[in-house]
Amino acid sequence: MKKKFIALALAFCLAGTQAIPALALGDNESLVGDATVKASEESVVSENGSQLDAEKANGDSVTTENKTAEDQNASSGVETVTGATTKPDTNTDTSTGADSDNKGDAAAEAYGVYKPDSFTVTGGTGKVKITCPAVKNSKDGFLAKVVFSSKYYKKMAVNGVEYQASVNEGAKTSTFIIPIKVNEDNTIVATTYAMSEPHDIEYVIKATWTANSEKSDESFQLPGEGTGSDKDPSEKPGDKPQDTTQDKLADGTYKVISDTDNRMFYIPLDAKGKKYTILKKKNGKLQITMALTGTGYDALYLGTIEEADKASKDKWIKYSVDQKHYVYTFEIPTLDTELQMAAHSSARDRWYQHTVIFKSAEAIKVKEGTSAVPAESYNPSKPSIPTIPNVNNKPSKPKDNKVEKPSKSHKDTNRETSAVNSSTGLKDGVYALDSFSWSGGSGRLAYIQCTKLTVSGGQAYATIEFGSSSYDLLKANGRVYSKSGSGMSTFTIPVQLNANNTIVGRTVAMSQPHWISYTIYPYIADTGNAKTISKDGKATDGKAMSTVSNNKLTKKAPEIAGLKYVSTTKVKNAKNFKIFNYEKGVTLIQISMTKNSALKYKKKDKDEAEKVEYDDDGKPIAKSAGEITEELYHSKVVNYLIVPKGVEVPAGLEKEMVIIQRPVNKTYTASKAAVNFIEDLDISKKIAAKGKHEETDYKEIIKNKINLAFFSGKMIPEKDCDKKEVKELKAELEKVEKRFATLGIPLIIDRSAAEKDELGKAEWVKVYGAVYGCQKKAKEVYSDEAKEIEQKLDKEEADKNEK
Amino acid sequence: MRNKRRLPLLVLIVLCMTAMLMCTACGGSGDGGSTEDTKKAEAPKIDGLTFTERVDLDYAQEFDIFKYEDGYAVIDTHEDKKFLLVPKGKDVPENLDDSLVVVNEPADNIYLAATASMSLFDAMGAMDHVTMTSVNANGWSVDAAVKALKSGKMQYAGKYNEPDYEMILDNNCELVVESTMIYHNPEVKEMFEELGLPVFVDRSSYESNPLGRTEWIKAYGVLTGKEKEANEFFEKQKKVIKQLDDMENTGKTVAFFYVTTDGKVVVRSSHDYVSTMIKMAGGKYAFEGIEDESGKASVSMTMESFYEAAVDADYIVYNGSIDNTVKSLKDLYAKDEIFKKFKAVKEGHCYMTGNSMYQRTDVISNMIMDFNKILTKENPGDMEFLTKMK
Repeated sequence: MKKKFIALALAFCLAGTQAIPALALGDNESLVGDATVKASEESVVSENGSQLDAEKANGDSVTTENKTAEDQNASSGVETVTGATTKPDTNTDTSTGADSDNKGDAAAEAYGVYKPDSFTVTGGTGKVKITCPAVKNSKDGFLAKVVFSSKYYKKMAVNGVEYQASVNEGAKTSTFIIPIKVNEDNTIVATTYAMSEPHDIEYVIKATWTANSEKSDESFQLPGEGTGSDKDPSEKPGDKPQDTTQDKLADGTYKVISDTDNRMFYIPLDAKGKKYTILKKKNGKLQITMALTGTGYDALYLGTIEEADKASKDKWIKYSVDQKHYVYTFEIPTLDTELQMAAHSSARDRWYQHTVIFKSAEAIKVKEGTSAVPAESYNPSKPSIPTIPNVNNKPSKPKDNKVEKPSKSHKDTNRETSAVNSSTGLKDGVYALDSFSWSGGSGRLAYIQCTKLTVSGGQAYATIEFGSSSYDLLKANGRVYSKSGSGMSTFTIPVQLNANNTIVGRTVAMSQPHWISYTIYPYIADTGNAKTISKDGKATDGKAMSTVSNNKLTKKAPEIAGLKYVSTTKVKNAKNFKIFNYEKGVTLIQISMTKNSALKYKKKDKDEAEKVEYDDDGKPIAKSAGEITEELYHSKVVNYLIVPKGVEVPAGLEKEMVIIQRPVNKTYTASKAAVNFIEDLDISKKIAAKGKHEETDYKEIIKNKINLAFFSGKMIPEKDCDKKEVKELKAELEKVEKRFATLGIPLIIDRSAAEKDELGKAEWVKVYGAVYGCQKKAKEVYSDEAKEIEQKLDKEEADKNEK
Repeated sequence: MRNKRRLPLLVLIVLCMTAMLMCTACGGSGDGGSTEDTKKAEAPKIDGLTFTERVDLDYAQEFDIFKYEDGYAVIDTHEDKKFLLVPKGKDVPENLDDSLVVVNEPADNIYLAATASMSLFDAMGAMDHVTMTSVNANGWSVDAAVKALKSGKMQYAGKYNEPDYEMILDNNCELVVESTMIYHNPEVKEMFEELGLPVFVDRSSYESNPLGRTEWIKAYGVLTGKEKEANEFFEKQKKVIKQLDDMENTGKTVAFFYVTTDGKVVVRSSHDYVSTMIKMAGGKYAFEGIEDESGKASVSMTMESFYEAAVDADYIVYNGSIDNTVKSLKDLYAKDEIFKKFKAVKEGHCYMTGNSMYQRTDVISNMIMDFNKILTKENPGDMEFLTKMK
């Protein structure tokens, strides 16, 4: 009783302590970042698997091979060379009984096939039964025949070497022949394809054996051996792949490089790991004969599953059997283009959507009637390493894929985006972008990056990755795309280069799904000289969209993605600003905040704007629009981009410069100089409210719908200010910057008073001319003003001389 | 001799009990972990006001209401600022401490950016006090909100982190009610305060007891002068849940989840209020012990892990508020055939939720009763939030 009581009390306490983290819960509408559980990866695999598992998995033919030549005691025609390439330590044996290879060798007497005394397995979840009906002892060591009570285990790795299973559809088993050390623990990693993604599960197996173990007549040869020759008979010696394109392919029969979406729909690999189908070109018609690895689809249909559903059965592409594979023959409209293909599951009597592509490049001419089934199947000699899920949230490295295919998609009936003109003059290939930028959202997303820019069939596709794994759908191009794989949300969509593309992402991070709109701008400066990169290369190195500087006023006009430079406004005497003019009437004004002042800011990294920062948990930090603008103000030089009414600029520029979108007809001035300049330009009506720079009434600002503010240069501490004053003024300045940034109102500090001479001060009218789109008038005003000042100075000079 | 052996045992037990009590008293501010909340909050001393009583709260731990003479009240939400309710016609006390923000009762033209509180305003008949909100009509599953937006009595005034300050000022807003999401955008809260608007942060999502969430209606009652109605409503909800007082836990396990478009399964953390509702309803949460390392309410896992934990669950409830594509067992199988192997499916114990449960803070008791119904009845009729999947 006592013990029970204590146990209860302790349990209660533990429960109590559990309550603390409970109370420290975050809200349900949590961060856009994700929550991934560290659940045990070693879990069950059930027989049925996912809905797409229509195929009765048929593993690639097993390769069990033996050495012949080295074997000194090559007796009794035991070894047959089978098609596949060998792994040094596997053996196969057509004989069933023990075959003594070494005459008179005591050890050899123990050679043969036995039933292990015991066989234990640990690991996994115990839902799949694993047995070892036999082990084979030979001079090269032991082999074990390991059988899984599931047909979904297609391969396993033992000591880094990969072995393929022989799958028995009827018995629903997967069988492996692997090397084993008897009476010891052996670690194996088996890969199951029962779920929608291959899954690695680790087991530790142990088979016990002695020389007195019971003999067994289990066969150590697995079904599905090759046909004998280790060369592809259809390939004549000396054949080189033709350097062809579709136009150049003459009528004839070829082996063409092909691919599918690889989601439970696979073309078998040949010995070199390549996927081919047979193309017969005749009189402009293209006929493909394709083999699949599985036998689950009794028919195919070239089109969408909706079309397949409607089609009559005589239009179905029915299967036929060739060397134990299902093969299909059909006509295609074109090569080098991804085609929709529906596959009919015989077991479930429903269609599944897949894609196929048949390439003209590197086609190999072959004899007519060549089988689509590879003579020898693929057998990797490299060890395969089990994949580790991307559990941290850093942007993932580009996958080692070939061409990125567009993500699965369906039509967007809401038409939130329109079809994109993704055609481009660039040749097919993978390209480097000069920059990739984005805007939009509500400040909760850390980044959108482009990991790959592919041109395929004359269309441009961008593989974009969000700084979050919570976006499961993306509207773009008039369609709705599904996320590819797991990890950070990635989508491959058609894009129009050098243009703003609208995309709308759905995030399920919060208690209700939300659709959020963004704009992306993939940029290649000179499409005529675009550089292709390797298939594994990254689309961008995170370069900024422009070469504006946050550290100094530039002599030359900075480059801005998507905006051509036109001219530089001559600034003769003023030292605190620069004005550059671009196409469409866009103007860049650079204003120095620190010149001739006691205000200090650190030098900024050139590409800081595009850099993604991470917090202590490794999660990318998102910034709101206001925060980004606020940071732009905290620089030695602030860049303003003045955009005329109705003009659209590339998305993402707001991360590098403060955007002032005209019309700015409701100006707030907290600067006498500003009022004067505006009056000189005859545009006083642009001022909606005036105030004092020491105190701002934000209610007034909001009520007057202010869209631009000029503040006095007195906000910036002068050179002779003491430390305390500098600190106070800086804090006040930054507070004002923060408030205006939160309200989305651009703020300009008039630094005319900080110019050293009269002419420089007067020249600031050009800044106002640029802001309000009346540079011509400003030039005239300055010209007149300059004359007056010069006259005055001359007179003063003359007066001085007279004395 | 016997006593000597007993004593250390007793000491141990007493120590454990005290430790436990201290822990639960640690209601705390949750987020950010303030360490000063080991004692309960105290009524602030206000010049000219006499403190009368602290309002009794049955379940809520994240706020306090202190009453003073002449109808004044202070609401303490365990944040840096407290709210002083000044009754109509009465004066604002002089020399107020900086930590007190004045709200003139009743607060009108409220900009409500905390979706969980809308249903509470409806429950106490105070919808006309809310004239602006941060969510559009199509984002609401609270009928009264949809109605008000469609009739123009309530307007959409921008998302919580991008409010339409102009509209809010034009409409003479007197109070801004935000959810804890506003902590991600402190500059917005600061802007409101700069404009002289009190910002009340609804921290009901930190309540560990689901009924504690509903109890926040008492705070809103004080703010809008609808205390009586708020208390009446809450008593009714208490009654509903009282039916479960003598109930023994059925021991039946319930799995609450949805499947994402890329085949992952999202479940609630075992500390989340949905999990707690299941427990209160007399069931066991199938994912006991599951939690996200960063304390989030939802946890994502692979289908294999989910299978392992939930294949033998007695009941499965599909979260239709996030994923409304699953309306039947057929839809469930379409997500993954593996569901056919689930015990709950084989025994016909599959349910789904409809509208957003997150927004229905007012009827949490009824939601708990629905869970209780599915646990105790084979064919429960008359359910508001759960539907059987066929």
